[in-house]
Amino acid sequence: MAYKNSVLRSLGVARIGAVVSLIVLGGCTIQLAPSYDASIVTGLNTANTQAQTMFATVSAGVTKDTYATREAQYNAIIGQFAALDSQVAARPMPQPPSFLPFGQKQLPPSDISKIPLLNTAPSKGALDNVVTTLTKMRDTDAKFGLMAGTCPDATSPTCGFKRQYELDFDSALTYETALQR
Amino acid sequence: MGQQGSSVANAFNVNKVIADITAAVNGVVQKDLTTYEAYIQRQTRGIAEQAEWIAKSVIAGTIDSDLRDFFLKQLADTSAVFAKTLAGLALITVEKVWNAVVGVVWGAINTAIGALLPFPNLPAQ
Repeated sequence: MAYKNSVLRSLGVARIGAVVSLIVLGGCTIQLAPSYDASIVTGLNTANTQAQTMFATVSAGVTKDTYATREAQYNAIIGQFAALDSQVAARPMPQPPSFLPFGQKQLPPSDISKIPLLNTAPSKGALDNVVTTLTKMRDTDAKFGLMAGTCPDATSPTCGFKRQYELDFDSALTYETALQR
Repeated sequence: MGQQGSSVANAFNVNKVIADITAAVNGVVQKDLTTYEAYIQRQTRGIAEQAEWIAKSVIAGTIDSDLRDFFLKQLADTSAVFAKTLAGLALITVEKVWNAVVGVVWGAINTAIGALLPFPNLPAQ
C-alpha cells in the first residue's frame, strides 16, 4: 500500500512537472510587435483628457492677451505626450521577419520611400505628430489667439488643430491597445 | 531539444486538430478584423474631412499660407501614420495566428508522441 502511494505520488509529481514544462514551452512563442505597456495606454488617456479640456477652453475663442493663462497647461500637455513618445521609442522593438514586406522596402506606389516601415512602433510617428500639432497650436495661440470654432462646421484653426490631433491620437491609442494580445 | 515523455503513443485526431486550428485562427482574425474595420473607417473619414476643412479654410481665408502648409504637411504625415499603423496591426495578427497555429499543432504532436517538443522558429522565408 505504501509502495502504491509512493508510486502514485511520483506519477503526480511527474505530471505536474510535465504540465509546468508545457507551460514554460508554451511561452516560447514568437513576438513580432512590442510588448503591451499599460502605463503607455493610461498615459495616453490621461493626456488626452487634458488636451480635450484645452480644446474645449479655446473653442469659444481666445485672444493672445490671455495666452499667459494657458501657457502652463499647453506645456504640461505637450510635455506629457513628449514623454510618452520617448517611452514608446525606448521600448524594445522586435524586427519583422525578412519574408514580410517591411523594413527597408518601400510602400508602393508613391514617393514615400523614406518611411522606414516598422523599424519603430507606428505609435511613435503618431505621437510625433501629436506633439507637433499641439506645439503649433500653442505658438499660434501665443501670436494671434484662436478664433472661436466648433467642429465640424467651423473653418477656424481651432477646429483644424483639434481634428488633426484626434486623427493621430486615434492611431497611437489603437496600436498601443492592440498590443494587448 | 524535446524530451521523450512516454513510450505509449496517443491517437492523433486529425479532424480535432483541423477544428482546433480553425477555431484558433478564426478567433484571432475575426477579432482583429473588427478592430481594423473600425479604425479604417475612423481614419478615412477623418482624413477626408480634414482635407475638406483645409480647402474650405483656405477659400474662407481663415488660415494663412503658413498654417495651410502646416496642415497639409500634418495631413501627409497622418496618412503615413495611418498606413504604418495598419501594417503594425497586421503584424500583430501575423504573430497571433502563427502562435495559435503552432500552439495547436505542436500541442497535438506532443500529446500524440508523449514528448515536450519546443515550438519552432518562424521560418525566414
